[in-house]
Amino acid sequence: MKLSKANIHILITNAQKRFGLSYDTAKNLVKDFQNLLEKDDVTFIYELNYAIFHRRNHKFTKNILNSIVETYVYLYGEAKTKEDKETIRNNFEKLFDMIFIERCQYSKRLEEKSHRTQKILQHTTKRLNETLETQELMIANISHEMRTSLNAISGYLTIINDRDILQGEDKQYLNKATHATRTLKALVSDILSITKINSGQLEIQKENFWLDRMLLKCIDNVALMLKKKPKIQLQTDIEFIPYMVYGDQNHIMEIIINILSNAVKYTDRGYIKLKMDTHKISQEEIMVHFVVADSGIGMTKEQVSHIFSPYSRFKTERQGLGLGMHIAHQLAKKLDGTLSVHSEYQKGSIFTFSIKMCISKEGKIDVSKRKICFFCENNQNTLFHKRVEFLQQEGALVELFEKENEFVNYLLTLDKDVPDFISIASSFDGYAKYDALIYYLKSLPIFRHTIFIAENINQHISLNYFDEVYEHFSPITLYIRSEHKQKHKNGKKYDISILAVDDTETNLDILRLFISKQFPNITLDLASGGYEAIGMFKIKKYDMVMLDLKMPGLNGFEVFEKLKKIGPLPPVYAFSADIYKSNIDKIEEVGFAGLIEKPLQPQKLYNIIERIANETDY
Amino acid sequence: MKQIIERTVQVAYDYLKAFGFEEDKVEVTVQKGISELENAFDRLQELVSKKDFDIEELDNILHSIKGILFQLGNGTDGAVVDSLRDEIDHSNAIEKIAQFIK
Repeated sequence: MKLSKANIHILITNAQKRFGLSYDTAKNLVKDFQNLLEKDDVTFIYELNYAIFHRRNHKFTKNILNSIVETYVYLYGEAKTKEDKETIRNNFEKLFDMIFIERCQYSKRLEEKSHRTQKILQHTTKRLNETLETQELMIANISHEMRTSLNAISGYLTIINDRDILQGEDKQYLNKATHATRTLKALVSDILSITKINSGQLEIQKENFWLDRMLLKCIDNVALMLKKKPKIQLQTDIEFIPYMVYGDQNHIMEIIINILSNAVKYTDRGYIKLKMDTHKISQEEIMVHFVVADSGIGMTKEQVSHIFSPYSRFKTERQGLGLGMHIAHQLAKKLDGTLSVHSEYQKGSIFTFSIKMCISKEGKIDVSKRKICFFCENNQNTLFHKRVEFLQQEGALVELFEKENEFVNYLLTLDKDVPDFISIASSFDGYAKYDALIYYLKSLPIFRHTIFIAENINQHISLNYFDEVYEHFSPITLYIRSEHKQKHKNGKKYDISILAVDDTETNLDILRLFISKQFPNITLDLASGGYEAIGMFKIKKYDMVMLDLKMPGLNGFEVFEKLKKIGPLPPVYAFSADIYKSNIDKIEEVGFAGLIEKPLQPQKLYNIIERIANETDY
Repeated sequence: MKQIIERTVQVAYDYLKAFGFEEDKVEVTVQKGISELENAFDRLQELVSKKDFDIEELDNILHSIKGILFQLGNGTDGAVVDSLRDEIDHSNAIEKIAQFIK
């Protein structure tokens, strides 16, 4: 088959028009096409293939396809002989096959390959996730086991410490062991938190709570850390509109405590400012911003960019793994809040945690006609005055004293209209003095319903007679009528002595656990047998005795008979799991005051103790 | 015996935690209780393996076990021990006790 000059001319013109080619280019192209038709040279096909591949343009490809079809249809029509027609058809099939069919097959192969690759990727991802899940589960399990063991260690250390038998160096070692255990517990707890967050196991538990109380609890939490750094001054600017909100208090506290303890950790002198701003979004919602600013070591820009990454601790001499801020950031995200940081190297940092919360309908402020007496020695703090102003605005009757002699004189001469609350913020050594005064005041009937509060104590001091003790300031909501529960009825603290006798140590341990939780001032002596109990009873006066009935050696009834002979008996209760009628009859018959059943029913036990304490003149 | 101890451990933590005690205190109490329970079971096992034993001693040990189980919150097994004590004079008592602590 040979192309005529006229046909070559038509093909060149067509190529020029359709693809905008120059005459020479179009001529060369047609030359290659001619070689394909006449000499079966496939250069033309490769050129087309390359052009289609290079352009990757749908319109261009379609244009080529149209052009090829039109050309072959035209040439087929022009062909004179059957042979020429056959050549054109074969040539067209070859070209079409090489350019389009092969392309389709290649695409198909690619698609299959991509499908296989995807499957491999999916499988690998699945395996990877499974491994990660297993690892996280393993870490969680190990951490849990570690925490359990650490709790045991720390529990035993507490018992040794409580027994107060170690002295000098040994005591120092015990303190070091306690401290190390505490650090280890904190680390394990961090790892557990992060594993929970990563594995999506973190539970959001919402509850109603007062914002100001929550914040003061956070301050109390870092108070011990702050005491070790006396050159830091903690400044607070907390709004005095005490909102009761509905939210995940524990996790919000975790975030704020993390930020605060970080500030204490990285600040050696200067200030730490804690600020809480609230603004109402609607009747139901408020936006709360917690801001912690410090004059600490600050961070470089690079450090700031990594602050929320895990293990981002910058100063190696500071304690911790560097997980705290990562956890805080993750928690903030889980709570739909934001945590941001602004820092200047060597100048300090400002962390802001913002969260939207629902306003609880249950929190109503009612301090009207509440009589509150404040004593703030030397007019120390403007915060004190802000609170006083707020309470006055809300209708509370406030008495404010700044001079000690006036305050003491006021307390000692009161004979009516006694305050519901007496709040004392004293100087360093003043609290112990007021503790003794409160002991006296509580013995007076008129102070029976007064709540005594120690505020801003900022020191390690054991106060026995204050009803509430705050490291920083007491929350405003403490003074709300419905909020305060009188912990010690009639001002009594139940400091009676109880002797409990049981041959099973576990029974005594659990008894001690329950009694010391509810009545921390009660002295509880434990005896593991009848003879030991008799010996103890001979040398000490008890207000109550609890006797196990079934013991090896002397049983409870025999011990009871012997105790009777020693001297006047306090109420003696049988302590038994054998609640048979015959037993109960015998208990009554011999003169036990009653029966305390095993397993222990705490409320019944507490009622008995309270009754005895109220009847006892102490 | 192992199963009873495992059950007791499971129940004891939840039982004591439900009263709001601190974790470390719960841990120490449970561990001490379990160790005492194990000792009591060992004593019981030793006793029932003897041909002649003091029935009073057997009752004392069962009483101890019952008390610990109850105090650690495992009332179900505590009740079983209580019923074993009730039948301590029966001819098949030892068989039942052996079955229980198997």
